[in-house]
Amino acid sequence: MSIYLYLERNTFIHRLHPVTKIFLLLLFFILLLLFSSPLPIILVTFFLLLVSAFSRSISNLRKIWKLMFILFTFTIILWTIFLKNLNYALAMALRLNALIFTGLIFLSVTRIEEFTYGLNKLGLPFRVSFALTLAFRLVPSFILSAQTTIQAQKSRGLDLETGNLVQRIKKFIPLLIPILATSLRNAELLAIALECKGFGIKKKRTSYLDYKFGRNDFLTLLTIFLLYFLLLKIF
Amino acid sequence: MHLLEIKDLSFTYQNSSSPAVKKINFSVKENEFIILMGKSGAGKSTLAKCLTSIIPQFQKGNYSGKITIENQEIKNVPVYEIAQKIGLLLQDFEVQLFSTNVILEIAFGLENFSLARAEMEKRISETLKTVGLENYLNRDPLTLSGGEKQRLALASILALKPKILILDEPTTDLDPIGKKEIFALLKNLTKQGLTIIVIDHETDEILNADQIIIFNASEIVSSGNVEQLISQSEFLEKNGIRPAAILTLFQKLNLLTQKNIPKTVNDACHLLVENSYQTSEEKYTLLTKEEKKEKNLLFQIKNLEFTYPNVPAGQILKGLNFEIYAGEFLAIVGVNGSGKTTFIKHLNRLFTPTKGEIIYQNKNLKNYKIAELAKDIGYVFQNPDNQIFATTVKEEIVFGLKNLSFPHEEIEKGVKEVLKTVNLEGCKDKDPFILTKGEKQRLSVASVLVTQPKIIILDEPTTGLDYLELRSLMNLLKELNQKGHTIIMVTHTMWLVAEYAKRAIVLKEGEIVFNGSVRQLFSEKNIENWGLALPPLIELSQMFGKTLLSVDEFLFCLNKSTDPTV
Repeated sequence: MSIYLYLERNTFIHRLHPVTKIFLLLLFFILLLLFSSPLPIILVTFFLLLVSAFSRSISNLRKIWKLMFILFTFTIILWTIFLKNLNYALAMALRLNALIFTGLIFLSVTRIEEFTYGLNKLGLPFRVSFALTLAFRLVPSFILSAQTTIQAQKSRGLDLETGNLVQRIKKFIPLLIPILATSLRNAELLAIALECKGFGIKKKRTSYLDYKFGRNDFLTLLTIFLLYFLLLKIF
Repeated sequence: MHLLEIKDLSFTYQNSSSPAVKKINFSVKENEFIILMGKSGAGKSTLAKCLTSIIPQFQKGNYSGKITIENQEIKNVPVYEIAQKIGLLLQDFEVQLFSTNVILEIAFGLENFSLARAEMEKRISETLKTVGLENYLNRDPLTLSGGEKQRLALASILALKPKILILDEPTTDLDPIGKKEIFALLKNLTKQGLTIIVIDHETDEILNADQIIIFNASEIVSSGNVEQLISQSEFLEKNGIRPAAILTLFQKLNLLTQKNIPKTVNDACHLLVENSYQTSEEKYTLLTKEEKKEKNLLFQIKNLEFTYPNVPAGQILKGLNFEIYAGEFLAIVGVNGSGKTTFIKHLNRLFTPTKGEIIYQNKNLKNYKIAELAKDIGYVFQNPDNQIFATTVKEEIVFGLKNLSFPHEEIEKGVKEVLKTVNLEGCKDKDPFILTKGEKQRLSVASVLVTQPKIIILDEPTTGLDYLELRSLMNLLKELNQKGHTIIMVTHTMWLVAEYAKRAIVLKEGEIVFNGSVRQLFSEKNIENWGLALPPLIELSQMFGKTLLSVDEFLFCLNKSTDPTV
C-alpha cells in the first residue's frame, strides 16, 4: 500500500534543502555517464549504498531489486552480443543500475512537493515545475487504479494465475487499454479539480513548505564536489 | 440584492441531442442553505458545473441564459477566478486529491491564493478540526478510506473560504454519524456567513434547508420551502426522492393534514397517542418469531487479520471470527475506515489474510483460484469508475460471461435481460464514460448480476443512485435472495439495512462489536458509539417499546384503541 517511494524519515539526508538534493541527483547522473569502465561505477555504487543506508531507505531497494536484476542481465547479454566486449557490457549494465539506484534514493528522501519546490527555487515557473513533477504524483494513483481494474476483472473471472510466465504476461496486455483510457479520462477531471482549487490564479504563488539553505547543504555539496574531482582525477 | 442569479439557463452537451438543463431560473440570497434534489441524470451536476464555469470553460456545448454572481456574469470567467467566490466539492472527490499528505493537500489551494504561511497554518488546523481529521496530518490521502477522503476533499475546499459552497453529493461515502456531522457543520457554516448549495438524495437532513429545488428531466419542477414539500410523499417519490418514513406512515394512517406535519419523532409520537394508537404485543411477537436462521455454512472466518505492510498503523483487521450462511442477507456496517471493504475483499481472494483463515464450503479459501471463485461470487465495487473498463456498455456486461465461457445464445439473452432489469436498455452501445454516476453504478451491478452468481457482494451500492433506482436495485436483490442467493452488503444507509438485511455485523477499528439480527442491532443502546444512527421511524417505534423496521411492520403492529382512557 505504500505506493510512493518517499519514506518519511528524519535523517541528515532527508533534511537537506530540495535544491541540494536536485543538485546531487544531477551530479551523480553526470558522473555515471562520464565513466565507461566497471571499476569507478562499482565504487560509485558502493557510495550510493552507503547513502542509502545512511538515509534508511534500503527497504525501497528490496522493492525493485528484481527489476534491477532483470535489466542487469539483459543489458549484459545484449551488449555482449552486439559489441562482443564483455567489459563494456558489464560497465553499461552497472551504469544502468547505478542510475536507477540514484533516482531511487532521490525519490526515497524527497517528497514530490519538495521536488516541485526545488525546481521552483531553481527558477522554473510553478506551472512548469508542477507539470514536470505531475508524472511522479500520478504514478501512484495510476498504479492504484490499475490494481482496482485488475481486481475488477479478476473478480469477474479473468484468470491471471494459471499458465507459464509468457502466457500470463500475454493476459496482462489487454488490461493496458482500459487502464490507459481511464488515466486519460482522469486527466481532464484533474485539470478541472486543479482550477477549482485556484491553480493559476496568481502569478506569484506562496509555499507552505519552507526550507533554508544551511551549513549542512553547503558542506554536503562541497564534500561531493571534492569526491567528484578525486574520482575524475583517478579514472 | 441576490448573491447568485440564474436566468433562463439551458445547456446541451456536445454530441448530445437533448439539453442537460433547460430554462433554469432561480436565485440565491446570502446565508441561504439550498438543497437540489431529483432523479439521477436530471441535470443537477450539470448545473453545479455551470455555476463554477466548468461549463462552458472545460466542457463545451450549446449554452444559453445567464448566471451572475454579485452582478458579474460568470460564463467567460476562468474557473480559477470563480474559485475565489465559489467552492465546489466534485462528485468524483477522489480526483480532487493529489498531494502526498493531508496537510499539503489543504495547503495546495491556499498556496495558489498566495496566502502567508501563518495564515495557512491557521486555516489548515481549523478546517481539519472541522471535518474531524485532525489526527491524520501526515497520512497519505491515498491510504485513507472512502469517507475520510471525502472529508479531506471537503476540508481542502473549505480552507479556501469561498462565499458560496457547492457540494455535489457530499455524503455518499460517509457513515451515518459522519453524515449528521457534515450537515450540522454546513448549517453552522451558513450562520457564519456562507451560502450553501447541496446536491443530495438524503431526505433525513432535508429539514435543515431554507429552500428546496427539485429537478426532473433537465427542468426545475418545484422549488419552495421545506414544509410545503416534505408532506407530498407521492410527488417526492415520483421525482426520485425518498419521502421521510414517518410521513409515509402518517399518510397511510390518514393522519396527515397540512396543519399536522410531525417535524420531530416526539411530535409523531404525541400525534399517534392523541389519536389513540397503540402497538400490539401479540403481533410484535409474531414478527419476531418469523425470523428464521439460515443453517448451511458458507464461509467460516477464523481469526482473520489483515495488515498493510510498511504502513504505520497498518493493521486493518484484528482477528475476526464469525460465520456466513448460505441464503443470508447480511449487512456489514461501521464507521469509515473500520475495515469493511478490506474484509469483503477477502471473500473472493482479492486480498489474502495476513493471519488466520477463511473456510469456504469446507475447503480453505486459499486453495481456490480467484477465477474459480468468480463463478460463485459476484462483487460490485465501491466506486463504479474503478470497476468499469470496457468501451461500450454491452462489452462491459459481456466480459464476465465470456470469461466464464457462457454459450453464445445465453450471452445475448443475458445482456438483454440484465439491461432491462437495471433500466439501461437504450444504452447498449454507449461509452460507459459518458453515463451519469447513477447509470454507471447500475451498469456495474448489471455486469455482475448477469452471470447469476450464488453469492453477491456489494460495496456501498447506494452511491449516485436516486430513490427509485435504489428501490428497484434493492427489490431485485431481495428477489434474488428469496431465490436462494446469498447477499452481502456493505452500506452506510441505515434504512436499507433495516428494511432489507436480516443479519448485521458491526465493525469498529477492525474488530467485530456486534453480530446478530437486524432487529437486535437497532434495539442496541450502543449504536451511536459504533458510528451508526437510528432511522427516525425505528426511533418512533422504540417510544412504544418495540423495534419496528419498516412502515409495513409498523402498520401491522398498530392498533387503534377503543378504550378512550388509554
